[in-house]
Amino acid sequence: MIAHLSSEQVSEYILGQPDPLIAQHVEGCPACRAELANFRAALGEFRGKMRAWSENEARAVLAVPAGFSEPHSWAASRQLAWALLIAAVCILGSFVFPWHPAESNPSDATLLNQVDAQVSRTVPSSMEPLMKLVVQTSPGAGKQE
Amino acid sequence: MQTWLMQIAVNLVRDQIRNRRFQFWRRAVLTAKPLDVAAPTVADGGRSPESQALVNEQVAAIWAAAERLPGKQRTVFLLRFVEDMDLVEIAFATGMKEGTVKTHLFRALRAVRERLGATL
Repeated sequence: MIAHLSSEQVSEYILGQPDPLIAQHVEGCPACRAELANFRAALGEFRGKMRAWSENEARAVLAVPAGFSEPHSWAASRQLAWALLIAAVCILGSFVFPWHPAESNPSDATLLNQVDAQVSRTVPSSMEPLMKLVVQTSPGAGKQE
Repeated sequence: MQTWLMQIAVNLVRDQIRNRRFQFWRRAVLTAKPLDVAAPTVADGGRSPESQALVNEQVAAIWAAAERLPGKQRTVFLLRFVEDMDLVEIAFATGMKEGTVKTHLFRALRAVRERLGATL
């Protein structure tokens, strides 16, 4: 059993990290228990008053007229306004000048068809006669076809 | 997934609020505005005048002690006992080590308790 709590021990207890010996002493000592309870109650009152005071202070700050708002928030809203304006112009532009892929140059379409035909070939055109020979001489050719 | 995202959002909002509160207290301790201890709080109802006077005296004593604390001790004390922040959160908010926060809190509490003295 220890004597009444020292200042350090009271702090430990108030901070919620008491040594088991301290906790044991507090359980069995009405004087220390009462002192701790009073200290906690006083800190609780202090918290209540300070919170009420800080909320009033914060409300007073918020009550400042709009013209005195911080330049940072004004800059942010101006950026947002510009972004919205640009987006609106893009959307309107897509209606006024729609993109019609079907109306593109006919020579482009022909060229694309030629490229497709080349790409879809299994062998280059110069080797196609050889492929015909391979297909004719192959024993499983009939099955493959 | 939705719960997880919601938790992240809640944490971000909470951190933002705490950060703003921390900035508020930093400003408050720098300007050291007087606290109106006579202003009623929600918990004041149902107290006798004597009891209310004692409470006011205690609150004024704690504020007076907090005003006399060195800057870091005062900030740490207010974050712990007004904002209910734990040691880890205070360390994160102030950029101090957890042990340093604890030391400041111990010293602040001792000073406050000495100031409260007879009223406890």
